[in-house]
Amino acid sequence: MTQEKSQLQQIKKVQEETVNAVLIRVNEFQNNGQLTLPKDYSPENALKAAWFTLLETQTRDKKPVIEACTKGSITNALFEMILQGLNPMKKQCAFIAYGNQLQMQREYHGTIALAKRFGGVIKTPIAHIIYKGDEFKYALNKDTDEIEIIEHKMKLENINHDNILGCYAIVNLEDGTKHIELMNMAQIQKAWEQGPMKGQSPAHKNFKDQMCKKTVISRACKLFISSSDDGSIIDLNKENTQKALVPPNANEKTIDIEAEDVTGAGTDEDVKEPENIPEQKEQVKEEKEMPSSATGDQFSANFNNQQ
Amino acid sequence: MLLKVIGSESLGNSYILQSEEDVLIIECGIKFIEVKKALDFDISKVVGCLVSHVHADHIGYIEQYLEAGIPVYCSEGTRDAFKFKKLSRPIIRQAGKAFMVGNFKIVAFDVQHDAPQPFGFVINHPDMGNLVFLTDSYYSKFKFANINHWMIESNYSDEIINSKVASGSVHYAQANRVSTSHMSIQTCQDMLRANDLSKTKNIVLIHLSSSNSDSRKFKEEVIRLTGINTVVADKGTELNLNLKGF
Repeated sequence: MTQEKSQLQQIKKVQEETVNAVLIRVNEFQNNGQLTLPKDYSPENALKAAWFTLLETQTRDKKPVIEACTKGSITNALFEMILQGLNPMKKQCAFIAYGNQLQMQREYHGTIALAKRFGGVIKTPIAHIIYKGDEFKYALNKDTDEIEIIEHKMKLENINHDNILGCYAIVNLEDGTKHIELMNMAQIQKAWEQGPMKGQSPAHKNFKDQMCKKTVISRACKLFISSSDDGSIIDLNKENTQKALVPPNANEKTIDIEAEDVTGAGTDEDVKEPENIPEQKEQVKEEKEMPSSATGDQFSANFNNQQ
Repeated sequence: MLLKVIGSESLGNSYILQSEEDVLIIECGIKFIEVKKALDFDISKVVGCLVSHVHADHIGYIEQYLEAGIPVYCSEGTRDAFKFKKLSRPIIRQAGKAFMVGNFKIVAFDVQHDAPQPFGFVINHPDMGNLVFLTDSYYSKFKFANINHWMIESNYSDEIINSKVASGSVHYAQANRVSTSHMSIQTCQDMLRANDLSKTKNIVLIHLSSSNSDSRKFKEEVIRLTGINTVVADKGTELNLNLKGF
């Protein structure tokens, strides 16, 4: 019992020293204007999600990462996640332990999210597999300098994991143009060999078409993420400022000091002349009670003249 | 009626409206001695001082004004935020209700600033007609009818501040604060556009930022927009606000 209790306390302590510390730091940075996060990203939610993910994550030799990894590396990994605006619950990133060092790794969905957020990609790219037997023609479009798919006639009976010739992704960009990322199977295989499973995981074997699409889409997105600037973040915030600058209720009600004189209350609900006069007398009394009354007296005299 | 600008910037604000019979001070963010100098040391005609809000560049020297026996008018919010003993029994006004200070008839109205209950003022005097005093407000909820003179903030220009943020000389957070507490020349122009200026004789641009404004350009822009005499309130500026005898 006591051991369990102390273990719980230990976990709580790690949470305070990592997740809570990062949140405090992020808030500080944001308040000082030292950090600008995308408008639609909640670092609080992402950190909470990250903590639950961390509790489940283990090192290679099946130890919980929150015990095995240094607090410094956990903090850094969490901070990196926030800087990139990712959320582990959406499978946008994962935490992987290398020895006692925890690292944040961007995942496939994170790559697409970033391409959409920063890279000028307007919707999730679509990918298609080219099977043996498909009629597939592509060429260079000399006007746009981009590769163009001229024709891709598919047949249901062509679908066969052993007959994949290649795969392409269509990326729709903000400026209305399209980018085609095309890879043949040999290129895809090479890319897979960079991974730990060398393309031999059950997923690669059983869902080869889906893995091909992921590879091509990731490659297409990376180009747009890495070549982007932070304009999208800054523009978003600019929008906020402009909203604040021109609120909808600007220059709405009218105040007319002259109209008040004639009609008393006027039409403006704020203006109630009759109520104001007795109040004014009280004020004058107060005035007289003030220690240095030279100007106060004159003030009340003038006031009485006015009456 | 003569408008005298004692100071109109974030270092300190004070303005004098001086007629033959009475003098009204607006803001006490500058040493009282400067007001005395501007009045040739005759403060017997001063009927009161209006304070817009609790920030030091508008209220900083209130003690000196109160010691000179000048009643200071401010909102309840300003009074509460400014924990100054001698202001424990101030004159509290409510927005939208007219009151008299000497021959000045005054209506306070709410403005939009990062201070508790900040006010702007519409001031009427037989000599000058109606004047709007609007400072430290990033926009105005109100329009104003029959206004002869405008004293209106044009603190910064979007262009200048954006280019400074881009170059890094103004911090983003600072720019953000400014844009939700002070009026830009663009908003100022929008406001003038929204109002009927047929009776307006003078526009005084006040509270220009020392670094994020361009007084010559601001003045030109407002003249081009309105075709009305426009003055930038530099320290020491004097302007005749009389309705007659122009």
